[in-house]
Amino acid sequence: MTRKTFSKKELVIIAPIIVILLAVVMIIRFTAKDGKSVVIEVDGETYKTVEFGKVTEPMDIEVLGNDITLHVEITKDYARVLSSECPDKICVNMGKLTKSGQSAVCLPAKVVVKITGDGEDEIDGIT
Amino acid sequence: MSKNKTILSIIMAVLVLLSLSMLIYTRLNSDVKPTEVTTFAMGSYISQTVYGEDGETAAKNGAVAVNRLEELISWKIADSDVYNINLNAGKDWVQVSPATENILNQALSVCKASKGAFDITVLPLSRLWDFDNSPTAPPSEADIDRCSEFVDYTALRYDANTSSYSFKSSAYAVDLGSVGKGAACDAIIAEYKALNVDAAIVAVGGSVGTLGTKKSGKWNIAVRDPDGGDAIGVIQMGEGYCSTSGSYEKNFEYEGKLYHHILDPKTGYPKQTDVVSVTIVCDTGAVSDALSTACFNLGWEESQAVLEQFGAEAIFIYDDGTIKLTEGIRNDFRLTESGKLKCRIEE
Repeated sequence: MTRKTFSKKELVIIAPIIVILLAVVMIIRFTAKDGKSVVIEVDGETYKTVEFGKVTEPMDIEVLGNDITLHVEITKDYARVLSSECPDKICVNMGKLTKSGQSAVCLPAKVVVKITGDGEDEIDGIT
Repeated sequence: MSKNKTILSIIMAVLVLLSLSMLIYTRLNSDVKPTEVTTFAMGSYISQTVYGEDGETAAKNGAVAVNRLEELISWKIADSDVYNINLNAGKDWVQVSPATENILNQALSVCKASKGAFDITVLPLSRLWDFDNSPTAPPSEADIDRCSEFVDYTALRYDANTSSYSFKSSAYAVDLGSVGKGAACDAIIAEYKALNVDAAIVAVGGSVGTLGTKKSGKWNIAVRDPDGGDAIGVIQMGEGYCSTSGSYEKNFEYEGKLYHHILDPKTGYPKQTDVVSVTIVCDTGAVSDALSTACFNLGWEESQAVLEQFGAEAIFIYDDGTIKLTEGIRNDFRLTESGKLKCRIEE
């Protein structure tokens, strides 16, 4: 006694299961936050957050901290401090930031540009 | 027929359980998002990442602890322990707090072990060069010679019974700047431990301290590329501390010559070496910070005995891209993609 297709009774049970499964997959997909963001902080407070995924063309963001003006460039791939009025330029010399956990710090301006990810950081600290 | 049904219902039950557990798992994972707090103190950027419920309290206590520490060990702050030692140099003994005593003695042990390649009485010199205020020219040779004369850690006398210190002449002075960031990591981690925090990581300038481990295992600590930009390598570290001293941190060019901020106490000038940075991993922040400066000045060969004495591991990066690793860190260090392009690890 072999059978090729499911009976109607069985379909009634299988269909909802498939629907539930699909729903779970969708929930997981849509609640997962979208990848990496750039966070610009001034004196420990968040000044601006930009998601890499939402950057279409390069942005130039002006940041003022401690009377020092910085320009932060954000593209879809990286963020960097393009220019700064600070004396040491350490923040500019940090170059492009791409990985979550990376940051460029301008001590004189107390401005921090950092990359944050959704899950656990690829980099937890920098020495 | 009934057999088929049983199989079918078992499959369904498994599927339902699977999907539910998937959902719960992803939910749980997004809930472990740590508390991240950044502040500025001790002339540094401080970043605290604390996992768990007490994250906010722990980070707040951490920030307070750094401010408290700064008020004890900064030579610039009136009435700090170090300020008082310097003020009373050549005159009187100064009793200090237990925290200051601990840091001074940790630092002095590195001074002694490195035979003065690291010296906490460097203030006459460091004040002369003044790297914190972006200098553009070196001081005169005469000034450097005059100040170098009064850089000698053996001039700092210690009385354990009264927790007091004194200098025999007023020309001497302590500067704990080269251990302060590491000591701040120690102070913050101590606050976390008091709250029974499971996992946390703190960075004060170039010093990093960790408590416990993440769910996914060890912490990934990036080692800065001396040329700026991407990290050169990544250290996988369990619970511990690391610090880096690099000639790229603060420097200026004068008449075609580069002057960096790591002063050689023996000459009074920035250390002439083909080493560009030294990263130390060990079990206290203050010692890791002190050792990074000591080993930068000592060089690879002479550092070995000192590292062994403190149970520390080291990463030396040279100007030609060579990287030397001590035995204990070989398995925990890997080059990044950009690091592979410019560096090679010496076997």
